[in-house]
This record gives sequence, C-alpha cells and structure tokens, in this order.
Amino acid sequence: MNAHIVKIMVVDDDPFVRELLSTILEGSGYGIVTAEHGLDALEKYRNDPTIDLIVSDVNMPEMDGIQLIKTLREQQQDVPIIMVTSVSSISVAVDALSSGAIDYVLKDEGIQETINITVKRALEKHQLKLQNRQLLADLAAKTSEQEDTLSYLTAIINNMPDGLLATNAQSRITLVNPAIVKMFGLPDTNLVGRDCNELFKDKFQEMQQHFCALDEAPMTTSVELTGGRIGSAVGAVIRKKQTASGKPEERIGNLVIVRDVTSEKEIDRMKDDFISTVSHELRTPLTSVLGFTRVIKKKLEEVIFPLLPIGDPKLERTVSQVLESIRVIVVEGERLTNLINDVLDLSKMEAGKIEWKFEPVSVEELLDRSTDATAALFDQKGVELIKVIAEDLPPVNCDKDRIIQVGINLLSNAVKFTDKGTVIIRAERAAEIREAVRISVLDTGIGISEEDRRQVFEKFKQVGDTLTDRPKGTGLGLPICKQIVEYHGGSIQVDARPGGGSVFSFVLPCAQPDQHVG
Amino acid sequence: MPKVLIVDDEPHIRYLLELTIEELEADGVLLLTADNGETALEIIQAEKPEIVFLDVMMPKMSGFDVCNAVKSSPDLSDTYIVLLTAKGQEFDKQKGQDVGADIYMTKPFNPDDVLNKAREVLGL
Repeated sequence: MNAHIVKIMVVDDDPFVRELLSTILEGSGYGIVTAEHGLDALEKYRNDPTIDLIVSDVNMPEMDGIQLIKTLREQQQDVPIIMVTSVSSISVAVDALSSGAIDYVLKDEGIQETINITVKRALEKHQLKLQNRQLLADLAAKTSEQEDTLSYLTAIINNMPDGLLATNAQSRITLVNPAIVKMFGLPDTNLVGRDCNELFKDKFQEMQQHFCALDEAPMTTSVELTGGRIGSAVGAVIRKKQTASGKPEERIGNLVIVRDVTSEKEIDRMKDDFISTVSHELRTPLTSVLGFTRVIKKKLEEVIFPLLPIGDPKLERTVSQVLESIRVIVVEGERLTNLINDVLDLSKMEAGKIEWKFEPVSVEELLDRSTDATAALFDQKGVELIKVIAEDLPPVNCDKDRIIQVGINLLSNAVKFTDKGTVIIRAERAAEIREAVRISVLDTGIGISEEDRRQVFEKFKQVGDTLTDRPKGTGLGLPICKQIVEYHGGSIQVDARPGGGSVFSFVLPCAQPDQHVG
Repeated sequence: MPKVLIVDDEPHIRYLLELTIEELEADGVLLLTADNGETALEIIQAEKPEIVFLDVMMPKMSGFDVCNAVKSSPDLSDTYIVLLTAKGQEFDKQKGQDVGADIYMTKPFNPDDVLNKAREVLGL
C-alpha cells in the first residue's frame, strides 16, 4: 500500500455519534472530515473531491442521507457511501442501497467493530469497481483501435491490384480479395471456409502444396491465370506471435500473393525481339562492309598491285594510302562489331538471360588462358607481361569462360594504356575476406584520375576526353566485367598504383572444399 | 565435280560469299546459289553439294528448317552444313545443334574462315 491516507467524511447531525465514529475511524488510521447534514456534506465534498468515502446518517435536517446519495449520483459523483441506520429502519437501509449506497451499518452497540469492517470492505469493493471500469475502458479503446486497423487493412486488401489468399493449417480459406477472385475466375460467392485444394484443381494446388512444405523463407513461383495471363505468386507462412500468453510462435496458415506479370513478360519478350532484330539488322550490312573490304584488299594485293610499275614514288604513296584506308575500315568495322556484341551481352546479363555454368576452376587455368589470349597484344606493343600466382590457392567457383573474359578485358585495357614498362597479373588470397581469391592487373600506364576511377565501371563512361583522345574501345568492357564479377558474388575495383599506373582487381569466392576441379 | 551451295536472301551477302569462294573454281569446284530456303532444298536434292553455307534468317523457309530437312533425309545427311546467322544468342546455337548443323558461324564472318572451311570440307 502506498502512503496515501484514506480520507473519510463522517456525516451526522448528532455530535455524539459524529464524534464517536470519527474517533473510531481515526483510530484505524483514516483521515477524517465531518459534516452536520446532507447539504453541508455536499458543500464539503465539492470543495474537496479527494474524499474517498462518506459515512452518513440517514435522518438529518436540511438534507437527509438518501437525498445526499441521490444528489451525488445525479452529479455523477461516484464516491462510495456507507449508510448508518438505526436498527428499527432496515427498510431505509434497503432504500439507501437501491439509491446507490455501497453498504450499510447498524447503529447499535457493535458499531465500533462493524464500522471498521464495513469501511474496509467498501473501500475494497469500490477499488475493484474502479479497476473493472478501467479494464472495460481499456478494452473498448483496444477494440476500437483494432477496428480501425481492420478497416484500413480491409480497404487495402480489397483494393490492391495483387491477388491475396490466406489459408489456415487445414488449407481452408480464411481470406480472399476481389483481385484473386478475378485472376483465377473463381465463383463470386463467399469463399471463406472453402477447401483451397478443391477450389484450385490445377497448378495452383500444386503451388499451395509447395507452400505448405515451405518452412521459413518465402518462395516465388509462376502460375497460369485465366485468359492466358501469367501470374507470379509469392507464398509465405503465417505465424502467430503469442506474446500475451507467452506460448511459442505458432504456424496458423499460409499466405499467397499473386501479381499479374503478363505485361512485364510481354515487354521482356518485345525487348528480346527488338535486340535480336537490331542485332540482325546491324550485323548484316556490317558483314557486307567488312567482307567486301577484305575482298578488295585481297584482290588489290593479289591481282592489281603486282601489275603496277615499280619505282614510281607517287604510285607507291597512293598504294600505301589505299592500304591504310582499308586497314582503318576493317579496324572500325571490328570495333562496331564488338560494340554490338557488348551491347547484346550486357543487355542479356542485365535481363538475367545468360546461362551461367559454375564449376570449381583452378586459378592457374584462369590466368593462363587470359594471358594466352592477350599475348599477341603485348608482343605488338613490346610491353612485358608478368604472371604472379601465390602458392596453394584453392580453386574458385566460377563460370570459367566469363571470368576469362574479365581477365582478357583487364589485360587488354592494361596494354592499351601502357606504352612502356610492364603489366603484372597477380593472384593471391584476399586478405579481408576468408575463402576468396583476389586477381589483380597492375599496369605502368597513364593512370586514371580519382574522379574518373569512380566512373570507369559505368556504361559508356570511357574516361579521358573522347574528342582529343581517340576512344579505343566500346566503353562497355568494364561494365560487363562488373556484371560478371558481381554475379559471382565478388567485387571489382580500381586503384591508383603508387608510382603511376592503375591496379584493377577483383575478388572471387572460393569453391566449397567438397567441390573438385572439373 | 565438287559442289558448294550458297544460300542467303541478302544479295550482297550472297555475292560476298561467291567472291570469297570463287577461287575454288580453279580447283574445279562448282558454285551454286539460292536466295531462299525452298530453292536451296531443291538444289540440295538435285545437285547434292558437299557443303552448304546456309543463312538462318530467311523468309518462308528458315535455314533451321532447311538444315533439319537435309539432315533427316538419309541420302542427304552427309551434306556438310555451315549455318550463318546474325544472332549471337545461345538459343540459336542450341537450335543449330538440334537440327544437326555441322558448324555455326556468326555474322560478320571473316571471308578467310569461310574459304578455309570450304577447302577443309572439300579436301582441297
């Protein structure tokens, strides 16, 4: 109990009784206020509403006890009142109780004990009443809150374009929304309580069984909708958090959300068609341009040039100009071909249309094949290529051809921008990530400014001034490398090499120990 | 007399292939051309060329269809078929294998590769 002293007002016109009751109650530790009749009590209560209990005589001048109760109750005052009645007037006590008194006590020789017991009981009863009222009020507030939440949720569920279906543990439907009814052409009746397996006899049932088997992570699958449309369904388990009862979480059913992805699929298909058409339309004329140029070169060299008189400087100059012009056409034509290939490659990668063949591959093989493919470029430029492979490197789990593509790309970039010096390709364990291998290409080339280093992996962001520095690639090589490396769960980055040049490096996760190099 | 058939609906590409393989005529090779799949199939049946350079994307009868027809008829299945296509998609490569093509070349092809392939198949 707290230190609060319970305050009781004793109301009686008889000073002897008033004094007697006050003394008894004061002796029991209550605080006492007294009043001489009903009106006096009303006045005093109005001035001090902290009074916890009123003990009142019935018959008093000005205002009697019954009237006092009635008036207080009319004024919505809830203070508990105990009536003190003489033995002869039991009917008055009954009257008092029906008017709202909490109890009564007989004015006899035993009052000294009965008053204490009655007051204690009345206070307890009143306390319970207050608590009960508070509980009811809390419950009403909670219920209203829940009703609000439910209204919001119902509005959202009924108006969302995605179809929604919830079932209980027995596969009976507990919730459907109009969208899913429309998607599957379900009967427009109340579906709650129907057996889901019976209602969806086709693939959806299969999916539902899938979902029943699923445990933690939500899963996605494709479903056929009415009218030849295609849906993407996500299934998840509904778990009930039982915080109130302290019981463990319980699985109470499954939730399926279906999205109509017909137009997305259609757009995907159109994009694929567009890309292959563009590819065809670009390659066909390019085939003619490159092919005929090569034919011209061959005819000139084999048939026409041998017929020319030797020793005419003007003629010799013309021949070398013609050959140089042809060389430029072929080089540029090849560049255009590479661009088309890169654009196709990148768009397929971004659309997830590439089939990846993951297998454990030895790091040596990756480096050897990358360096073999670029050896000619290094020879042409007279730049040295050094290969450094750390000992005991584990195999990496990768698509071999794609990672070699990255290696070739980085090496040909390095040699392209290095006029003298050496290029190093190095493989080692990644220091920061366990079970990963880092492959780096270090050049002694022109280097890349800090600002440009942030851009090199973006599409068509070749660094340098494209007007003065003739671009030497498609601007898509590094973005493709980035896509490939990131698909492997790795990362690629570029840093300045101390003393000039750049370091491109990427990290690949190692194969699991139980995987063997295939 | 060994025969080579060139099939493409694009006249420029057809001419390019002709120019490319033309020097084989010196070795006694007969050059045949067709500008669509149906004609190609007729020529293959009538002339039985040793090697066919076959474009994939042609109206009406595609290169895949021609290839499939050739490879599934017992008396023609020895014909060496080089599929030429502008599409670089894995799907096409797979389809080329499915219809029994011997090799698959992507446009723009290098004429030297075409010539060397023809020489190799004809044993020249």
